[in-house]
Amino acid sequence: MEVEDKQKCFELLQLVIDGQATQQQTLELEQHLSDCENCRAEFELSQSIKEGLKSRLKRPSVPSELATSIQSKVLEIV
Amino acid sequence: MSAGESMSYESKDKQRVFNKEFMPHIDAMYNFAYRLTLDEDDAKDLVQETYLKAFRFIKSFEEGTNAKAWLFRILKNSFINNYRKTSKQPNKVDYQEVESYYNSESVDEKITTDLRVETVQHMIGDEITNALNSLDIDFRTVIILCDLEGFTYEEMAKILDIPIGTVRSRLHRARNLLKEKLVNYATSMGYKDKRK
Ligand SMILES: [Zn+2]
Repeated sequence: MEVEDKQKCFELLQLVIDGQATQQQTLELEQHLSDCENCRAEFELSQSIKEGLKSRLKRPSVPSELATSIQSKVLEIV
Repeated sequence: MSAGESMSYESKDKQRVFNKEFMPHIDAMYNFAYRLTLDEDDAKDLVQETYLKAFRFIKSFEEGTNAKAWLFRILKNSFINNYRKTSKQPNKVDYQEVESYYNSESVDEKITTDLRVETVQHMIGDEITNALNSLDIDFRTVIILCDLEGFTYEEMAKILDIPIGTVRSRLHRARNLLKEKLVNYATSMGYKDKRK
């Protein structure tokens, strides 16, 4: 693949994965993925990593007193 | 001190906006702060400092605009001012390298073939967390903002004070680095690529 095409692939993949592609761009990528195995693998892998980050990363629980502490400090400024 | 009559209308209004627009984001704010500092106490201090700043500068916030992005920007700037100087980050981001990523093909090709979707799906939260935490702060930040918090490139550009093109190139580079880390984890955990 030419460097220029590759660049376009990266850009499209990223836009689609991040949900920021236009309909036209999504279509363009779908067409390309149907006959480019490399990009298809890249696309699926990137998607699964993004999914893993979203669903399997533990979110730390906010210390219970933080909100009240902030609100009482704000009242002091007022 | 109670919210009594001595309070002017203006401060009541400020508090209303503060509670309605800012406080609901405390979970996301703490999460962001924790992922930046990797320390519970530092995260707490950072969130508190950010909220107090937000209250002081509340007049520059336009009601109805994106409060979360506005708060994240303050938090990010506070973090840079307070922690970055003292934190021990061994490798600084080479922006030259970041900007020219489109021209470097070698890295991208290799990673894909070394890591399988199934392997990623079998990884548990700890492995992904460790991989993310081991990234340089600038790369970690774009992944947090995009993948964990769902900001758009445009919002990220505002939070980070960088052009959208830089957001996208940094994100691309960050993801490749993360893949590299995941490959290393997969290898050390004994995951095998069946296609080989
Ligand atoms: Zn392709």
